[in-house]
Amino acid sequence: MSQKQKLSLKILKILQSEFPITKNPYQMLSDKLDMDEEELIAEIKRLKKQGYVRRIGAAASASRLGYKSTLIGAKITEGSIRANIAFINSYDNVTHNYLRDAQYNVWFTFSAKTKKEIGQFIKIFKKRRGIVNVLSLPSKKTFKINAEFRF
Amino acid sequence: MAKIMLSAKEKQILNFIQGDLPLKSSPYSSLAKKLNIEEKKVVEIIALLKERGYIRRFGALLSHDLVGLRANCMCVWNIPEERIEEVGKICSKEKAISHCYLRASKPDWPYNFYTMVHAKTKSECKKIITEISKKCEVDGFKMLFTLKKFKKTSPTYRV
Repeated sequence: MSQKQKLSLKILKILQSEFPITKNPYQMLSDKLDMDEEELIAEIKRLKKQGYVRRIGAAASASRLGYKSTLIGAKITEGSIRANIAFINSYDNVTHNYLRDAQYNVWFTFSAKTKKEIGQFIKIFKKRRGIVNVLSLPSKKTFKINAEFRF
Repeated sequence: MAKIMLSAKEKQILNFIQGDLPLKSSPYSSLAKKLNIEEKKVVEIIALLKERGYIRRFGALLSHDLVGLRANCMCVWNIPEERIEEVGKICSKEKAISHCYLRASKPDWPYNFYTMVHAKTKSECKKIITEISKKCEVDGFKMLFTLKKFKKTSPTYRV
């Protein structure tokens, strides 16, 4: 691994785990990394452009903010997948949506401020062409969520 | 249910920081100006929001591909109710598992325990899951590998 790659990794780790809540976070981090603030910002810009950093900001607690969410597994016919995916993805309530290798082939999360809103969505969704069956699986307990990547 | 007791300013700050912060020396300057408060105050409020549990984590969100984690599996388990806590504890400690939930099972879907497993390859994922199943002494599970990602965005919970 080159010196430059090592530095990039170090920056990614520190951005993920030790991002300071302070007025000038990059100045503080650049001191830690023993580099110029401008240099650090330019490097982060590059890491973002290359897709390594998706976003820098806060992950809010959905439950603390009173949001309800559910995991939906759907059995969807092959021929209707495209149209149904477009429908599902058109909702901002959906943040993750995957095709999986099972009879229930499409899995996505749906969150809303009320259970009623989730129920209304499911009712409409079930009636769509190509939807064979739908499972709605709200979580009863969270054991682990969104841990940081170790690398 | 948790009561949400946030002031208008706190709400605006929380909405703002759930986006991608401006990549510059003073990421909060525009927000401070808009709210007509000092940057120092914005930072204080963010720290308090974190302390009060409204913010789970703060920092960079990295891409799975970065660490070469290209195989992603949702492994669903059928765990007897009385063993949930024990298995939940074991799975939470597992490095390869990012998310772990107890959910209700359904008549034609007997799985009540959900783990997201990430590894470099599909076979590595399978190996990890087999090891977990041995460790937990549970063999009722099903692996659902990701074939395609249709959507993956950071959730924004507007307040």
